[in-house]
Amino acid sequence: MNEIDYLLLSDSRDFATDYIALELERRGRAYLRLDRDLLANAHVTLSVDEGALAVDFDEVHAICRESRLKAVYYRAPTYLRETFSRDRSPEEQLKRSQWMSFFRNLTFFSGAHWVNSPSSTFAAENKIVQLRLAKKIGFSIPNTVVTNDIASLPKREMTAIKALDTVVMQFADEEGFAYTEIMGQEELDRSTASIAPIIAQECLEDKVDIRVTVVGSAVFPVAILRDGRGIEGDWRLHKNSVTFKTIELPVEIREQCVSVVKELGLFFGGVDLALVKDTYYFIEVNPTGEWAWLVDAAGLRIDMAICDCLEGVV
Amino acid sequence: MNHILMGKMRRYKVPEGFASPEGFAYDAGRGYWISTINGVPLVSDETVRKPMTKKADVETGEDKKGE
Repeated sequence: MNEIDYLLLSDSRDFATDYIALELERRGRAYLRLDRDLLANAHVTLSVDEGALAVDFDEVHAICRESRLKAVYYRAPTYLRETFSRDRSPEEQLKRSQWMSFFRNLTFFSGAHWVNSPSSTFAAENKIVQLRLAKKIGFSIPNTVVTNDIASLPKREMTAIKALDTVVMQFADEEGFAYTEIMGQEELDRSTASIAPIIAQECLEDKVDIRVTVVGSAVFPVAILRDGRGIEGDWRLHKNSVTFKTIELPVEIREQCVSVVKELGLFFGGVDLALVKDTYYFIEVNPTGEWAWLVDAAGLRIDMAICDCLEGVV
Repeated sequence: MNHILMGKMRRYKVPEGFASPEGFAYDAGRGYWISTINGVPLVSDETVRKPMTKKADVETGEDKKGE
């Protein structure tokens, strides 16, 4: 039975976790990757009395002991939105809800270093809470209103409209995704939001989007550009034609990025900023943000920083 | 009248289910995908086009909450 020091909670389709497993292997660490989608094929037993998790599958016979486990890398949702669904078999609904809860219950290993703790992630995933904290820390933030009453919004030439939380919707044979939209006053005046609140922000024109990946005290900033320039509106709408350029941030902004992640109780966060002239505006933090794309696209060894963080180095 | 978010929503065909990367197999014991031809890990293979941007963004949001 292999005694485990590092536990990776993920699913087998998450290639970002591949980087972490590979680096831990290179460092000679005793690790186990548990994938939600494969757990039904394994024998998994968590003993509360013994403070131990035993896992058997294929050639793997591993045990995580409360007294030994050093760190957990959590790459899973904090909750699932569609567990109850008529489109899923009863077995699939049961499997999804119970394994999801099982993953959350592994916070039972409270002495381990969690990157990130799902409870911290859950609490941090609130954009308005983030904005308020960022302002307190010293960031500039765009003027922001949350409302379901569009008529109450300040009259502006352009307004950025976004969802409070990720909006993914299913239609008959299509899915829909709500991006940040830049809208003129005339179009806003013809719109409604009464059935659900929205975020309305001042539109930051001539901006450059910056993604700052924070891992402990390590900071990896990149500018997101198209044809060497910033992108109006939501850059994700142009993601196949953008480049990621590593940049230096002013020391004060670096420290503020580290602070906002730390004060949210996180060790990892993808901080989105917008640079307008000389002002860095805080937009949001993604506690479970993607980062693997930056290893190759910008040559940033975020994987090594995460392993350093798991080992308590950064 | 549609809600403002629904009216501006970008719609696309429902993505097909996950397909295993061609020429790679998942090694659950080691915790990463490996080439079935030369044993090179997928994320170290410079000949493979790896995710260059936020892979789960359109489907479910960055944190895959909608899965």
